[in-house]
Amino acid sequence: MLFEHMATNYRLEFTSLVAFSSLWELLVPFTRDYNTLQEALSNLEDYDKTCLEAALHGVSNVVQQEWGHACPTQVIYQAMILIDLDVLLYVLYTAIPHQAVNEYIKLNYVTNCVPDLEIVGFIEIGDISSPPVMSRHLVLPIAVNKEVDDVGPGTTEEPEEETSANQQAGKVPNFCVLLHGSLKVEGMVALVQLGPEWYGMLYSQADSKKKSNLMMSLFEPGPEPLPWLGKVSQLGPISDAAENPYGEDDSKSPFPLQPKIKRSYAQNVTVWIKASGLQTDVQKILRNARKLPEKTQTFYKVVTRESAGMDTLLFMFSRLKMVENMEVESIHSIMDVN
Amino acid sequence: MKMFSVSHKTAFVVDHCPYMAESSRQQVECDVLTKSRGQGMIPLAPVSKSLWTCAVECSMEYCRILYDVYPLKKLINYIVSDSEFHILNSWRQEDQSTHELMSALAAVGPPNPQEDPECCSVLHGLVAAVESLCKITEYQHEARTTLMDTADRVANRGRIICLTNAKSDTHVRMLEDCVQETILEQNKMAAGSDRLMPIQQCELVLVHIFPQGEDTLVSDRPKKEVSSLLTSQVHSVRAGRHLATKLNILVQQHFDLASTTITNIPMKVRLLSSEEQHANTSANYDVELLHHRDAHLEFFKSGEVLRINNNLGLAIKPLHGLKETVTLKWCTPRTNSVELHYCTGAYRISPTDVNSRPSSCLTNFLLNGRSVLLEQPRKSGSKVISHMLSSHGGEIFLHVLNSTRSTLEDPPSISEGCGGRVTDYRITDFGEFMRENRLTPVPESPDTEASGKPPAERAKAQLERYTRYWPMIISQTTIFNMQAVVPLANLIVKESLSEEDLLTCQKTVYNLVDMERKNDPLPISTVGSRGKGPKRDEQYRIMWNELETLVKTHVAGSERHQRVLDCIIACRSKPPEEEERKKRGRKREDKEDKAEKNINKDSEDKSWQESERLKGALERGKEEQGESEVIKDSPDSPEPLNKKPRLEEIQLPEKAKGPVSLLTMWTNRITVANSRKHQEFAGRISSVNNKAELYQHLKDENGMDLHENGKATR
Repeated sequence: MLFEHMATNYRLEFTSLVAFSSLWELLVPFTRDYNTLQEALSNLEDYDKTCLEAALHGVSNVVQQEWGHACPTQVIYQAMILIDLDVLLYVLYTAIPHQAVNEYIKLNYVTNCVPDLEIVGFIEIGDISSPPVMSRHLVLPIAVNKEVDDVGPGTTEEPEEETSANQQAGKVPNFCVLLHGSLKVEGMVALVQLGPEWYGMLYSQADSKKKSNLMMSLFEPGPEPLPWLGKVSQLGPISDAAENPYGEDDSKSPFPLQPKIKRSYAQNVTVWIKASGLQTDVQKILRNARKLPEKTQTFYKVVTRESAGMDTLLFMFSRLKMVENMEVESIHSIMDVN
Repeated sequence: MKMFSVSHKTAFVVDHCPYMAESSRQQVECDVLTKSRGQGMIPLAPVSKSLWTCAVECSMEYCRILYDVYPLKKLINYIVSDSEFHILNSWRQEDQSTHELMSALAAVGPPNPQEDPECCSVLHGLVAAVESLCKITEYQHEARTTLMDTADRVANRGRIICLTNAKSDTHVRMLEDCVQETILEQNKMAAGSDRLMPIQQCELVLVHIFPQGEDTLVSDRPKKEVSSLLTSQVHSVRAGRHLATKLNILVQQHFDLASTTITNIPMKVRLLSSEEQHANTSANYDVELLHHRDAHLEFFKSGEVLRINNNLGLAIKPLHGLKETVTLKWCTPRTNSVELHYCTGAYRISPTDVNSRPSSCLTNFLLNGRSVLLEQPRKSGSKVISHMLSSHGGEIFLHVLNSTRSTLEDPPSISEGCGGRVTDYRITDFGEFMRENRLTPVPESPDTEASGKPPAERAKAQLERYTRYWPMIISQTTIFNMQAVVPLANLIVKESLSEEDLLTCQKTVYNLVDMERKNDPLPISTVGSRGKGPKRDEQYRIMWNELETLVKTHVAGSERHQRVLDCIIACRSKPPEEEERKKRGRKREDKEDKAEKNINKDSEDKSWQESERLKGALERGKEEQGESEVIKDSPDSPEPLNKKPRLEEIQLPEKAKGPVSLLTMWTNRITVANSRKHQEFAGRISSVNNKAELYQHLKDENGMDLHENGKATR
């Protein structure tokens, strides 16, 4: 009964069947095939007793293996259906809930999306650059002025009338389709706001089979979900800038933002913890010193570069004996050069 | 939930007493290169670092990794202790950089062996560290001020890492007691201050450093509670690489870091041979990176990595065999294509060995904008891409890619859903619209608040304006298919119009008028209509209506927006009802116009247009009054006495249809203005087609009403 309901209303959801008593067993792994589920259900045998704890543990295992942990918004619906009162056999059904966010975006008004989904502006895919997201959702267009609630767009076994209704709806222009098309062509995403300090993005996603979809990914809530974009509230229209930050020919981009202080790997740091670090630096100077006096300029260049980090470290060395042995008169004369 | 953990503040206390000048006795060979050179070279003697040098180097490594992975909100206060304490930086965010600290350390210099050992102690530094932990950071301050009534959620916790050379276990205990006492003392003082906060929890990490080849006088001790406020642990470590390893482990434990080793990195190697000729070969290298351990969450959950130790900091483990690292294989990037990966997390990285050649090759490769996918080695042989390395603005991130099954598998294509069968979406136009509505970071400035909306709100407002009238499909619109409308369409959506913008809009309208006069074809869609589609006149009517609709959605914007609308209403061809009248007039005047056919339009439409027209005319009247003031002295204005042509024009609003030339409009406007300045002859007022009937009163007297020329008594 439940499966019938789901087959009608939630065709795109995944369901698995787990039977349990003192042990638990995965009868049907996650699937959209409700016939298999029905069949497995009718083949169920009775077991000894009810042990919910084991079952929950099993469910958690099954879900994690199949889907991984990274679906924080996927609340797992658990329902217990009493099948046979005499033997107290429960069937636990779990389903990943409706992932598809059915968004109806009001025609002509990009910014007035329902529910409370506002487009802030657009960003190139290269600029947003594979951002981390906490969840992904399929965005399905809904026919305007029509009671189309949970009906996912069609699979093959649709009743006739519904098909024709769908065909009708297919011919009414829908903003989602327009948006999807342009995002795909331009290689952009739409930055959306879901609530105070909560943002996400709409983008076109194509699967391998030339099918393509409008998707929404949600960022972690917060004023600055992506360091390379900075605070979202500080992102303004390009018309506000004195000159187009993308350049007249789209040759530049204001993104990504550069941090004020460079990371260690982006600057020339001197680390002599490993002997090799010190050796390399000393050798570089020696090598160049040997070519003196001809290649004075190169020598100075190397010394300047190296000594920037070195002089601080040299101060810390209290027993640095290499000085007396070096061919160069002394490290200090190197320092004097600067 | 309390805010600010122990790792928010870390105070480093590094011993700078004379005994720290002692050699670590770990030798660094400097003669690697010269050996092969033979001949006449004086070999370089090996060098060894002092305990102080080791301590400084390793603590700076700790800071470097920390700042790489957490550029913000994890703060370090660096203190050096000898006969007194020297605080090298503050908790302020701008003081948090290895560069600052290095310069400060260079100024401090190596320990002075001549200093009196009696007055030197690490205690000075420990006391200063406790005092420092009581000082609130800018983040704590901000949180306290914003939370107000729940300000007690702001915790004050911290960690002291003390690098010293202790004499004995008793000495260590003395140091702990001293810290404990100082905390109690300082907490009392802090209770009554705005800028200070009592310490709620302090973690003391004592690292005893001793030279190689010596036996330690201090024993290792796991974390224990000294009091409810203070925990303490002791690490007894040999100077040199052991110390480096220890601090590397500590920074990982203290900040929840984990290690990933990228393996199989192909790298061109320059082999130096005798005469500095070099041969290029390729070899595969490994590079170890540190990052937040959540980047491995998937592994922990699925049990692929055995977590040896999750009670951090408790267990003291042997130095060797501790390396816990996840190995991921480099996948050479094929293209530079921009792709949006499904990524569930992104974590900053820091290479463990930052200036080694493999490390810098990898980081430079990434900093140059390439991304690298990383493959998870699986026994089964299946290839699973689980991570990606990519840089954003000079920072390298380890991205976690989703590698498990997706609940969204095999979704229906968008073309199967609502609106999926429509084929003439204005995709290119909307693309253009998106480009115009791209975002850009606006620097925060104190006066942005004064100027009103934050940038993102301005962006939203702009989107709203731009889309007030935006037909989605090509066959729904005429004006957006016309190049001639572009200047106006681009300008009218602006928040405010300049005088120049207004002029451009008006020119656009005049241009359209001109097109209509020349009877240029319009790109009206014939989709859905039978035959050849609407007639030319009807096409222009549709176009003008649409243009009016567009502009009307913006008239509230400013007075200049309104004037654009006025201009359109003044210039556009009149609705069909008036066409009829025009036709009659035309029969007499017989201009070059072609024959027109009756256009059947529902009366509703007509009356709407009529009322709109009247409304517009009223407003126009008002405006022109103002305008005429400006114009009247112009040498270009028509001779006031030359009234004859003017009379013709006065009737224009009633009769003229369609093509109105710029000149006609202009003179018309002036005429209307001038005509208000004198009383018109009664005859002219009552004239029909410029002909006044004479002796009308005679007819009236005869009781006959002979109005026949359509000069209607409406």
